[in-house]
Amino acid sequence: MPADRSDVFHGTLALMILKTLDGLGPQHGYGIARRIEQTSGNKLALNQGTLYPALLKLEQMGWISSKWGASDNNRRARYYSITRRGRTQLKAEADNWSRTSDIIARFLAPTEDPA
Amino acid sequence: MTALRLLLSRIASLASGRRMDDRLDEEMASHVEMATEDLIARGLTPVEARREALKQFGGMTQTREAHREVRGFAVLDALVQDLSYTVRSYSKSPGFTVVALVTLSLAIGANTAIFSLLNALVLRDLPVRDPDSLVQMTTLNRASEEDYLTFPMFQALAREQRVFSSIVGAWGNSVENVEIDSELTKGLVWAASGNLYGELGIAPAAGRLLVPGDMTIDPPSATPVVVLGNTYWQRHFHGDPAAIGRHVQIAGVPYTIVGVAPKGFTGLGLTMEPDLTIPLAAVPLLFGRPVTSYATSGVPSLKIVGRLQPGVTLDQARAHLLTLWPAVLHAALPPDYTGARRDDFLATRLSVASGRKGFEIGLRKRFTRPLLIVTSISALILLIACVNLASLMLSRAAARAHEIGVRLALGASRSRIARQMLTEGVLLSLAGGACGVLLAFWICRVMTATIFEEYNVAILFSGTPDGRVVTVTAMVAIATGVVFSLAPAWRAAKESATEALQKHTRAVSGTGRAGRLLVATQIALSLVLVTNSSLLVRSLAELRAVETGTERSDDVFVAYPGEARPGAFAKIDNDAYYPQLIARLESIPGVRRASASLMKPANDGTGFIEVVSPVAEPLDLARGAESMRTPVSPGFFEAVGIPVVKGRDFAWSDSARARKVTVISQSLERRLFGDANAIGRHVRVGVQPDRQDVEVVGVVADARLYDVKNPNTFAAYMAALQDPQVNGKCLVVRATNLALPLVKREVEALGYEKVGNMVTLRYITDRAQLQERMTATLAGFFGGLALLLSAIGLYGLMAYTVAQRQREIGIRVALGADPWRVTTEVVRDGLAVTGIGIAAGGTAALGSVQLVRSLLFGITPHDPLTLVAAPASLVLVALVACALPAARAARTDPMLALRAE
Repeated sequence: MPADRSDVFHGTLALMILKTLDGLGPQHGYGIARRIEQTSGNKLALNQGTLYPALLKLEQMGWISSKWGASDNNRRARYYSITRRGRTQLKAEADNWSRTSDIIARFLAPTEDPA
Repeated sequence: MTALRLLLSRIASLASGRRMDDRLDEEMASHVEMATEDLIARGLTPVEARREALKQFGGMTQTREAHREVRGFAVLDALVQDLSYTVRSYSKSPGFTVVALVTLSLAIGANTAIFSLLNALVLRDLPVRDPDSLVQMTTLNRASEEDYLTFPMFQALAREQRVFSSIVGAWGNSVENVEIDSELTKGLVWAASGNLYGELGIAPAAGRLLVPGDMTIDPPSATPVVVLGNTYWQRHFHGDPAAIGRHVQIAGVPYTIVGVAPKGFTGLGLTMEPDLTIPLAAVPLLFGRPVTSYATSGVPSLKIVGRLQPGVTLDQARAHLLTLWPAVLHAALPPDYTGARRDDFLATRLSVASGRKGFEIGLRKRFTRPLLIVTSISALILLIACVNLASLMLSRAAARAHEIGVRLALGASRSRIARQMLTEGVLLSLAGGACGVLLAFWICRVMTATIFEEYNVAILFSGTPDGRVVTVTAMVAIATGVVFSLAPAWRAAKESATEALQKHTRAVSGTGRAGRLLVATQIALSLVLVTNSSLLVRSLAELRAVETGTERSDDVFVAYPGEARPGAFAKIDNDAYYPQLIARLESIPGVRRASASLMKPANDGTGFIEVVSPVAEPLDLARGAESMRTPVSPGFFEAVGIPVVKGRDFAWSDSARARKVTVISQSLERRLFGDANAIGRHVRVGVQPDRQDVEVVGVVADARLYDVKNPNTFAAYMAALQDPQVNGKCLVVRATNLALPLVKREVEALGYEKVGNMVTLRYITDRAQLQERMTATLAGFFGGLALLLSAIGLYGLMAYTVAQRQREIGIRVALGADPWRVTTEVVRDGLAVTGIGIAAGGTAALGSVQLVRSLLFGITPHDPLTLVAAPASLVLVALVACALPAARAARTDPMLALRAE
């Protein structure tokens, strides 16, 4: 059965979240959202709410874990961090993604052949 | 692994739904606040900042819903949606729904009913403590007929065995005269060794049960105590505990009531609740003999069960018991057994089996195999119903392609559509299953009542569905639903929205291949079923057509008298009484001939089988003619319609004091004496000392008097007055319209006997064929159902095909095609599918008939008539099923068909 369209989106978002947590360490939802937007050079305007279902799903998969903590200005916030399984998954996904984008890039590259 | 983890965490979060909601709300709130603070820091006003933060966040409600969906609430929500959608869609096509529901109810109901009976008869354990470690012992005689053990065998086994922690024995049941306060009643008497109740873990309903102190095995002795059955206690003592301590007389002997057995206790069997249970060693008292006589008894009537010691297996126990067995036999040999009778006794073999199912030798022997066959047949019908529904669902899905297209276009996911199909299937089959279980209760009640019709005692046998059966049915129903919705679900999953939407206007035959395959499969399976059930039906017809050599009309009556009061028989002078009794019966208007017979005609075929041989030749049990020995009174042959060919019938002068005489059947005469005349010759009948020199005084025609299926017509009739057990006879009367009250009046006027009931010989014959009739009736019903389902399946397919090809047919008709040709084309198409099904099912059918071989009578599994008729009936059904769609195709109005585009 082909994956749902939304699954594809969740897939990319998941990859971004994992990468962010891998680089940044434990981080709350807002922090992850900001980081993703910054990393994308503000080209990606996230509907930040979509982050939370994605975080829950990643947690269910056992790729990230979460616990309550205090934010910079002492606000209670839920902190997410990547697990060992999550790192393995990230590496696999990242490899997969760069292969795919590589292939797509070749297809989209301007060709000499005018046809 | 991942799927499992996902499922577990979803279940966990389902359980903690509120907590997860709170957590998300808090996270969202802090998210928005942090964003607002950031924005304020970047120079926005607090109001603007908050609005911007909310905008960036997107919809809070959507987030909550998406979050819940990940958590698993969505599964439930979607299920509720699917269900309501399903109900709506079924109510829009009532025709389909009714056909599907009826099909499912019949198929599941039949399966449930048959499985319930099988469960009750074969699968269910005896409801006692640790039934797994019970081992039961029975004996096999020379003819490998299963029987019980004698008391001395029980003694020897109990003394010698080293594999059981304990060994218990039981006797009965037997209907006896029971006097309570000098009021005479009948009671079902059972006897048990003192340790039986304790060993089986049975607790009393009142008072106490039998205990080891109530009797000894060696030497046999018993205290006169009795345990009442619960139903009997309620009926005769109104459940009053004060009954304990009172006395009852059983067969004239007083016993003290010590307690009451629990409700529903059926001893070591499954069916009958004993009314009164006495110590095992007291059994001889029922027959007016002293308890000590049991030590030399040769009557095999004890059910013996042992409890395995821990660590001993059934095989080890069997090996041990078989090594003991020759010594047990010698120890148990009754002193008066000599010669051939002794050899016969010593040839008895021991059979050791698991005791967890209890003793139901007769019932199981008769019904297990037929029930297994019928179970397979009913399972097959369920499979056929599945395939049938799959093809119907597929056509339905094809007809709903447009609707599915719309749902896909509106954004429904494929998995959701497929799930919808599965929901529809499972809901339908569960509804069918529920109706089926109700139907099963009814079928079971009817079948149980039929099986036990002739028993005159309370039957506790519960053949109705229990928890296990309902569970199995529910699982079968769900599996059925999944199986028959797989095809449409798979189809829906690969549907593309645009194609489906276009399909509405374009005549593309979407389900063609799959639909044909399903219908052909259905026909193949139906052929297997129809072939087998036709064989069973034919076999019954053969059985009924057997020439029995006796009168078969309703004019032969059999009445069963019994002792009027304890000890009455002891006062009878047989030589004077029987001529008088028969004369009285013959004085009833309409009676042509009355007689007495020690064997009940046409019972299940067991009886006194004895080896008969001429006295002139040396005795050789292995080579003698195994014949039915039947003590009868004068007039018996005329009453049942067996002609006397040579010599004479018995006369009243053939009394106990006169010389022993016999009348033999023609086939036995030929076997023993060839072409020579048997009259005046002397024969040995069996091994009893007083039947070693019997004169042949007559020869009668062959008859299958007892077992219609048994082709052995060797028979040695004996003079009733010369048999010491003559009082155990039944009365056989040839008459027109004999009424029971008249028989009662005449018999009871003499003062010794009471008449219980009376039936016709035809009724007994029918009863004897109960399992064949039951099997054939059920098989015939399933065969008819299979044909009907084939018709529905094929009709559905052809109607759908014609509807799909309407445009093409319309064009052809417009171009001048012959309507007849269109018709034949459709019919040919249907027959092609049928042909493929028959070809595929033929081999399977030929192989499968071996399974019913053992149930067939008078025909071989490859009965030519059946092998032609079964496929022919399917072809006929196919023709009928195609006729309507074909006629519709021929009537296609070209204009309508073209305009419909």
